[in-house]
Amino acid sequence: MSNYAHPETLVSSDWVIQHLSDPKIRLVEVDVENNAYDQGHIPGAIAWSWQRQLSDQLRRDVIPRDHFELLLSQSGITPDTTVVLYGDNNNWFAAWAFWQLKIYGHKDVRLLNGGRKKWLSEGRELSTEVPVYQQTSYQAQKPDYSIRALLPDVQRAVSSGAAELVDVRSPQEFTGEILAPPGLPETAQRGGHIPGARSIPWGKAASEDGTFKSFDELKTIYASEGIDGSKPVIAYCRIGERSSYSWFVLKYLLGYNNIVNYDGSWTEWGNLVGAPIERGLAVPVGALAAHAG
Amino acid sequence: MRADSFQKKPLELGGWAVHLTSYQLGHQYVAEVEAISSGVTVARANHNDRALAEEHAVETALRRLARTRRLDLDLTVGG
Repeated sequence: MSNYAHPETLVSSDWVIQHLSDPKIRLVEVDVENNAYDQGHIPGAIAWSWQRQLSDQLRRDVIPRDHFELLLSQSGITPDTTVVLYGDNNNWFAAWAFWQLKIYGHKDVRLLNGGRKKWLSEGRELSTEVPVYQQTSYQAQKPDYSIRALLPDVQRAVSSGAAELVDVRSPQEFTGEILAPPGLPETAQRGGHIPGARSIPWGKAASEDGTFKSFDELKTIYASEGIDGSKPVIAYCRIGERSSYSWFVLKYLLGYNNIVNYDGSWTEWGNLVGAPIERGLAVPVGALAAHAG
Repeated sequence: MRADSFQKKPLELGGWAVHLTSYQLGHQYVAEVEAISSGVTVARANHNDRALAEEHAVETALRRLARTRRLDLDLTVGG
């Protein structure tokens, strides 16, 4: 992990083993729901549900500051705690939690490289015991929305070209062949992508065992689609969790500045009245100038 | 408790390429169906019999995958 721009934001399974009884560390398994956690989790880990605890289902928003403070207080977390996040689905929702913790200014947040999948495949110890930690009085920072794109930011990017749009969904979602990942509810009226977006599926950043690819591999993957850190980047997917993963890669592993996550993503843009979309394959990077002409 | 006896096999369910993974966890077997193209865990089931855990996961996955429509597209660049 040493040549990543911010290697301190990743931990290995061995590191977790060495810190299982460290009171300054809080392990949190994050997923849509906690079914997998209930079957067995890293000893000492607590669970956060993206659906019930990390997203405001009434406003469709990140949770408000007071809810965030309550969640972290109930989790026994202080501003000095090192929060280590992991989860199923290749850490997608753990990455969302990472992004939200950064919005509210938590200093030391890390991802378990490879997530739940790697922990299980390595035959590591699991527990069904749900730990209870002494409640704290967590005080969050004022939200930092500089790492978040809202609709007007995306509209400006489309009209001005001032930022690169990176669509991290599957190629079939990008072209418009399907409206949602196979097996999940269709949550958009239209299929396709935001005009001008590059298609760089999140999975390109992951190795077979679920860990992140090397710095050099990641740099090559993104550069081949014209993403080299020289321009601001807006990452999006369907609901913002896969793009949190790619946001993490671009910002913390490659160290590119000005990377934001558009959590409204395709469920917002794809349903928006009057918003232009494109269908089909992306224009190859080398042909962009001719296409624009 | 540790996960062991992993088995992973590629399948096609309802026209979608998936991986069916199963493993033993304590006294139970856990079976998971993952859509290869998206990496989404489509279904999960557990049972004290591996075959039944896999069968239940596949049943659930088939039901969920059937909701996904494929739209006809002109897949030319920018089409």
